[in-house]
This record gives sequence, structure tokens and C-alpha cells, in this order.
Amino acid sequence: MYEGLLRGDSANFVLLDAVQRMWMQLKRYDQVIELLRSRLARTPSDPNLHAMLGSVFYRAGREKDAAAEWDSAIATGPANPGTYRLVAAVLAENRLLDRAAEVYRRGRRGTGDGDLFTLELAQLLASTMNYSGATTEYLRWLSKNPSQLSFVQSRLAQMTGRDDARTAATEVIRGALGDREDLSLLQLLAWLAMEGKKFEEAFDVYRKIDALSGAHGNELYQFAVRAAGEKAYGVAARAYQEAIGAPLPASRMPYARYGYAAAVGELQADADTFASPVRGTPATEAVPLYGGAVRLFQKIIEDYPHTEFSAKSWYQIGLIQSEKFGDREGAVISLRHVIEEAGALPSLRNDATLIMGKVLITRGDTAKAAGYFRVVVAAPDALPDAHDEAVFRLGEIDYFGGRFDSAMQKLGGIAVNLKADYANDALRLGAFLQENVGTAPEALKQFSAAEFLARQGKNTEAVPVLLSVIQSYPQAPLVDDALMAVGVLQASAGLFREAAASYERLLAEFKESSIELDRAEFNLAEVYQYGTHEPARAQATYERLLADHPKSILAGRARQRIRQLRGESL
Amino acid sequence: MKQARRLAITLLLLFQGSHVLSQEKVLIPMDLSQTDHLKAYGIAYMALSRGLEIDWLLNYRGGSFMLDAHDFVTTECLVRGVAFIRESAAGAASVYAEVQREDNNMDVVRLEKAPRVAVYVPPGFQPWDDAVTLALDYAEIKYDKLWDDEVLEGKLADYDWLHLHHEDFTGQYGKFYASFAGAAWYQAQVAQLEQEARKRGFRKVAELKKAVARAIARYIGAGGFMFGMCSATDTFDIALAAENTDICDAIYDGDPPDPDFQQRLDFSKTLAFTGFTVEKNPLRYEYSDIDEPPSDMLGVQNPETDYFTLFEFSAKFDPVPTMLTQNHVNVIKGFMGQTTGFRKNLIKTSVTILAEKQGTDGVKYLHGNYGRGTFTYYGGHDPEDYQHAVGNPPTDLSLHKNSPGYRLILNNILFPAARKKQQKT
Repeated sequence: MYEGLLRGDSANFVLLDAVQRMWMQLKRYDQVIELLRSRLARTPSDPNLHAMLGSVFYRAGREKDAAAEWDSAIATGPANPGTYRLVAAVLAENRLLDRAAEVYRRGRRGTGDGDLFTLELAQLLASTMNYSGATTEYLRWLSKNPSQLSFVQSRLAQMTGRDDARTAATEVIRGALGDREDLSLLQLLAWLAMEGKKFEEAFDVYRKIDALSGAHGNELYQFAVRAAGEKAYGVAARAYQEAIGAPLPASRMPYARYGYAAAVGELQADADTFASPVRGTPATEAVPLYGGAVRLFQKIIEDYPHTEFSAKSWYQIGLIQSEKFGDREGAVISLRHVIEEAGALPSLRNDATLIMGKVLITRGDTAKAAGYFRVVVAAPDALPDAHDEAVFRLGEIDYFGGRFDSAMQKLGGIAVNLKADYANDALRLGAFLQENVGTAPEALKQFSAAEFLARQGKNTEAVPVLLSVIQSYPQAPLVDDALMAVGVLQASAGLFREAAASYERLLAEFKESSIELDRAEFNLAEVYQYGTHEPARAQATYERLLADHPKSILAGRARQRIRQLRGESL
Repeated sequence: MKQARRLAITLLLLFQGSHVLSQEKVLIPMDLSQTDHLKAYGIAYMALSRGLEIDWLLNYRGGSFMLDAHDFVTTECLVRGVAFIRESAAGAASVYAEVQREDNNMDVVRLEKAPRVAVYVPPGFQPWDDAVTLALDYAEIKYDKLWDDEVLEGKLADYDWLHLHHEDFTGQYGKFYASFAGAAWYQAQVAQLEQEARKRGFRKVAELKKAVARAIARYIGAGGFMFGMCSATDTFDIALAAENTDICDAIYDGDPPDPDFQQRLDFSKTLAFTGFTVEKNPLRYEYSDIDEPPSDMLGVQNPETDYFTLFEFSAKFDPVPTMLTQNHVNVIKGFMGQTTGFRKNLIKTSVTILAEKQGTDGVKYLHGNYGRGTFTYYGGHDPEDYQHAVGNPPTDLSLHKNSPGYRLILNNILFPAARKKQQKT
């Protein structure tokens, strides 16, 4: 139909275009060439016809003729940017992206305008994975349009998900920056470094940005917050420090001071090589290790008394005192401050109240501890987890005091809610009580007393009580638990040989009756691995656990430990 | 004579390296009592790699493995969480007797040598791309990665087994154009493939991919084993059929397809499919009518009712399909992919159908011979992720240790290790 129409109106370009498109679809290239040539004879300087003809030649496999036609198209208007755009578009349509880019470059030379086709070229170069070239073009655009930093960043973001593209873009920006102090380029550079999680590099750049923009440490502070969020505590701490020294405006200062102290605390925890699965860090080692962070928190308390910053700092100090230093008196004082000062921070106040209760248990003062736990139970703003923990701790206090029925009642309340974090602990202790309260109430009383001693850190007093339970009540269901508890206490006191002997005894004497055999084997292997440092023995013991108790809940961890001991990547 | 025999026995014991009680065996059950079916294949592969021979007890307790009770085998089973049973000589003999009884549909296949495994994946491929590499990594089976250069340079000859996954051999870049033409990863993929094609002297990516498909077909013809999943299955056959015609639209290769490409398809060149119609719409996420159900009908699938059924074969007379269908269940939950299954009436009659979706035209799993080698096609993308989308995180197989769908993949890995046996039918 189109052919018929064209024959009747041969000057009509719309019909000519329709016919050539149809023939192209049918791959009748010779006919299209003939058609376009005849039209070119009439209008020899039509760049569109030359470009189309070039395309037909290319698809027909006549690449030289195609190149000549595209050159002819450009020759019709070498000073006209539109000509280059037309030819480049045809080349891109034929997936000749490199050549399309070359046409744009030629256009710049031809028109004498080196800034033409910037975005077109950038897009083409990015599509051909020439990330350096694309970045160069985007920087050219930015230099002409300085307010379009966000636009350029969003365009770069389309390719910088790839490592190679990010590296290329970074190098180009560094090259463009040279010794200049260009804020936009520095911001792009910092953004790229953060994208690549190269925090040290980013820190260097943010230093410059901060100085150049007169941010008085604000840029450094923002960087520090982000680095700490990525757990890059070392660089975060240094950035906080420099922001503080800038100095930051007074309104930002307490945030930065607290962030710095917290980052230092995390760094010190990372450096704590004394702790192991069988034993915590001895206080003699912990005091110098965590002392730096404590001093920083103390200074915040001095400088910002009775504020959220002092409350949070007291909380951090209280935690370190109770968990690392074993300083219960100090912890009680610190936590009292938190409870007083954390009025606007209910979750901090409830957490501190719970920790206070736990610290008081370790001091043997269960009556006062119970008072704190009751406060949390009654607090309308306590989160469900905090509420459950408080009830659990009250149950524990009943257990330590030999009030088993009351304990079971409290634990039962939590155990029914299987989504509660404390449901497992409550179920475990509840089942233990149920098993022993009817069959061996006296043994249970002594056992719970020993556990209470152990909770107070009185291991040397707890162990003889447990051993006496084993001797006096050999038929009690809890004797294996007692032996297990002895092993745990010995290991945590660094008495690894004795701990190993206790676990071995449990395994030998209760192999028919205990349900703790898998845990005893696991604990024994841990003592060999981390206590006596006998890797071969540890591995053999983990393997024995797998052979004896393949369905144990500890099997997965034992397998992981074996692979760790064999030096395999996990 | 006696001295020579003693020396031979001593050398044999030295060579074995670890002690084994004479004739004591380890049975790795593959029925519902197995704790980690997928890693069990890794144990078998590890044992083969260390020179042990394994008996694959077809249809016995889900296709169990029996091997000599070396300490390293039992230790590795413990460490990897694979259930096993120590069998005395008498116990093992009784198992063998049961398996070989004439009235039982069971048999023993001896596995002799760890196959050298290659996976065809692009450089920098993403974990979501391939269920097989997930399975191999989880089972701790070693493999090498190959791409177009290696295939065209004849490196396939170094391998016994080749896996193809979510690749597109038609040169249409996975037909992602409609959804992802503007995405950086798509553009980079196109640019990279175009560069590779030009570097090797091909004007179009489609020509490069067709050459790769032909090289793989030659590898199979010369005795190789090929296992394809998802879109690597239908696009492989389409690429072979389209050897002498252009099926790609201008948005993929810069020029229109041949107007008569459908008539110019040569089905004599394909492995599994015949008489199919290639999809003409370049924006439709579908290559041909082979895929069943078609990609644009996947939305109406109900995962709750989507299951496929494994066929049962005679272990003694058809050991190959029996090996490939070993499983602890015979009804398996379905899963989608760019190619989810295969339309039954387009499958060549020479091909063995291993699993189908009952009550439909859909075949999920098939196997056939090509020259001196064999191929297996398995529809769908990830047996434990019903509808896996681009960019989704990879499946954590430690949560699917007993996956029947993944077992079918791993059956294929061990299949080339089997001792060649005269086919009875």
C-alpha cells in the first residue's frame, strides 16, 4: 500500500519514510538503498537521508559505505550541533556506542564548543562502561552548572554501585581536584568514599570540607555519627575528637562528647582479648582497659550535670562497673543517678532499674532488689520485654530464697507467652523446679542456696555446697545439674583442670540418667579449647558430642567450632 | 608368590592412609531419617575425590549411599551433620541382598570418580543468579566457573559436567528490556557482552551466544554431561535452532529480525524441543511457547497447590533416569522461573520425561541423550524460593537441608561418576 501511495506522490517524505521502514523490517536493504539514493539525488544535502542511508549500509554489512554516508551527513552542516546529534543517534541505534561518542567529540571540535553534548556523552560513556569518561563529562556539567551537585550525584549514583565504576569516578574527581579547594568536588569525593565504605579516605575529605565550608566541626560530627553507625569506631572516635576540638557549637557539643565516649568504649571492648566463652575478663585487666571510656563519661557528667547526657553517661559507667569491674558499690551509685536523672527517658530509666536489681542480687540484698523489679513491673511505660524480665527476676529471687511455689507461679506467667524473650529462661527454671520440688525438696533448697552464692561471686563457697548436695542426695534428679554447676564455676574461676574433671565425672557417672550430657561435653570441649588450650583434645571432644548426641541443640555450634579449629573458613 | 601378596596388601593399607575395619561399611540413608540430604551429596563427592568408591543404592531408603567405613568419612559426616549408620559386614551384605532382589525395584550403581564440575556464569555474577552454585557451595562440592572465552577456547574438554543456569543464549539479554532498560546493571551487562562479542569478531551478541551454544552442543556430543535450569534450557535450544536466522529485534541487536525466522528454525539441531514458536514481541518476558506456564501467567499460580510429580523408573533396567529421580518424596513443591516448565507437546519423543505437573501440559524435569553425551533440563529458578526476583537475596540452604527440589540438582552431579553399564533397554 505504501509503495503504491509513494508511486503516486513521490515527493512525499512521510510516504518515503514509511516505505523505507517497511523494507527495512523485511531486510530488503538493496531496495532501501536505491530508494534513498534516488531521493538524495533530489536533495543531496539532506543530513537525515545520509544518516538513514548509512544505517542501511551498516545493516547490509557495508560498513565502509556506511561510514562514508555518516561522514557525508556531518559534512552537510559541520558547524551545526544538530547534525552531530542526528548522526550520533543513528549510530547509537545501531549499537555503535563508541562511534557515537566519537561523533559527539568531533562535534565539539567542529563547532568549536568544548562543552556541547555533555550529558549525551556522559550517558553513552557510562553505557559502554567507560566510567572515567562519564565522570569527566559529569564534572564538566557541574563546572558549568555549579548548583546542580545533587543532579550530578544522582547521575553518578546510577553507576557507582559497581566497585570499578566507583574507583574510576574517584580517580577522576581526585585528578580534577588537584591542589584546588573545590567544595562541590570534595563533597562528591566524600560521598563516593562513604559509598565504598572507605571511612579513612572519607575522613580526610570531610576534614577539608569542614575547614573549607567553615562548618566548625559540624561536617566532622555528621561523618562521625555515620561512621559509628557503620561500626567503624576507630575513625568515628577520631572524627568526634576533631569535631570537639574544632570547636563545635555549644548546642552540638554534648552529643559529640557522648558519641566520642561511646565510640571509645566500643573500641576498648573490641580490644578486650581477655574474655572467652568460659571466662570473663578479670577485673584487674578490665580496669585499665575500660578506664579511658569511664573517664570520658565522668567528664560529661561534670560538664552537663542533670541532663540526658549525664543520665546516659551514668548508665554506661554503671554497666562497665557491674559487668567489667565487678564494682557493685560503684554500680549502685551510678545507676541511682540514672534513675534520678532519666525522667524524660523511660526506657533508660527502666533498664537502669532492672540492672540495679540485678546488681543488688549480686550483693545478696534480694529484698531491695525485689523492690526495684516491682517498680518495673508496675511501670506503665515499661516495654513488654522489660516487664517480663522484672517478673522473671522476682521469680528467681523466690527461687534463691527457697520459696519454690511462688517462684513457679511467677515463671508460669512468662512461660505461657512463647514470644517473650524470657520465655525460655522461665520454662527452663520452671521445669527444673517442677522436677525437683516434689522429689528432693531439701536438695533443691541447698542447690538454690549454692546458686545464690554463685550469683554473688562466692564461687569458693558455692562449690562445697554443690558437692555436698551431690554426696548427700545421690538419687536427687538435680545431682547432674549440681556437677555441671561445679564445672561452670571452676572454669569461670580459671580452674580449668578441675572443671574438666567435673565434666568428665558427670559424663562418666550420669551417662545413663543425665539430660545434660551434651552440654557437659560441649563445656568440656570449650575448656580444652579456651582454658587449657588443647585444640586437638577440644576437637575430639566436639566430635564426640556430635557422635553421642547428633540431635543436640549444641550440634551446630560444635560443628562450627570444629571447623574453626581445623582452620576452615566459616 | 606369598611374599608378593603380602607386599601388595601392605602397600594397599599404606595407600589407603586411614584404617578401616575390613568390610565394615557406612550407610548414608537418604530417606526421611537423613538430617541433611544436600550435604550428604557433598560427603559422597568428598569420598570420591579421596579415591573411595561408593555404591549408590537406587530406590533403597531414598537413594542411599554405601561406602567403606573410613574414619575420615564418619568424622566428616559428623562435622557436616549428615546422618549415617555403621553397618557390619553382615549388615551391609543384607542391605545389598535386599537391593538386588529381583522383585525389588532397586539396584546398585557403583560411583567411581569425582566428576570435574564447571558452571557457566558471567564474570561478577550475582548470587541470586544461580541455584546450582548455591547447592554446590552448600554441599561443599568444588567447581570452576567458565564463561564464553573458556567455552570457545575448548576448555570444556577438561570437565565432565557443565551447568547452565539463568543465561540467555538467544542474545536478547534475558529479555529484561521492558523492565530494566534504564538500570545500570542491565546497561553494563549489554555493554560488556557487546565488547566481548566484538573482541571475538562477532558483530552481534546473538552470534557470539549461538557460537557458544554450538560449542556446548559439541561438548555434549563428544560425551559431556550438561545440566540446564531456568532460561538456559529453552534459550539453548532456540539458539541452536536459530543458527541460520536472526530472531532478535532491533532493540537487542540494532536490526530487525528476519521476517521469516520462524520458518527458518532448524529443529534438527536442538536437544530437547521441536516445533516451538519463537516469541516475536521483543518486550514480552518470554522466549517462545516452550515455557509452561508462560511467564505472564505466573501471577495466577497458587504456590499452595503447585506441585510436580517424579516418575518412577525401573532401577534395574533404566538406571539413568532412576539415578536422576532419586528422592525421599515423589511429589515436590513447584517453583517459578523465567522458564518454569516445558510444554509437553514440544518435547522430542526421544527425550525421557522425569517429572511433570500432573493434570497440565507442563513438564518440569527431562533428560535425553545427544551424541555420546547427555543433557538434563530442570524448569524453574530456585527450588526453595517460589518466585525469585532480580535482586532478591540468595536462599540460605542451611534452612532447607532436606530440600527435595535441590536434591534433583545434586543427583545430576553424581550421575557422571557412575560406572558405565550396558543399557538393558
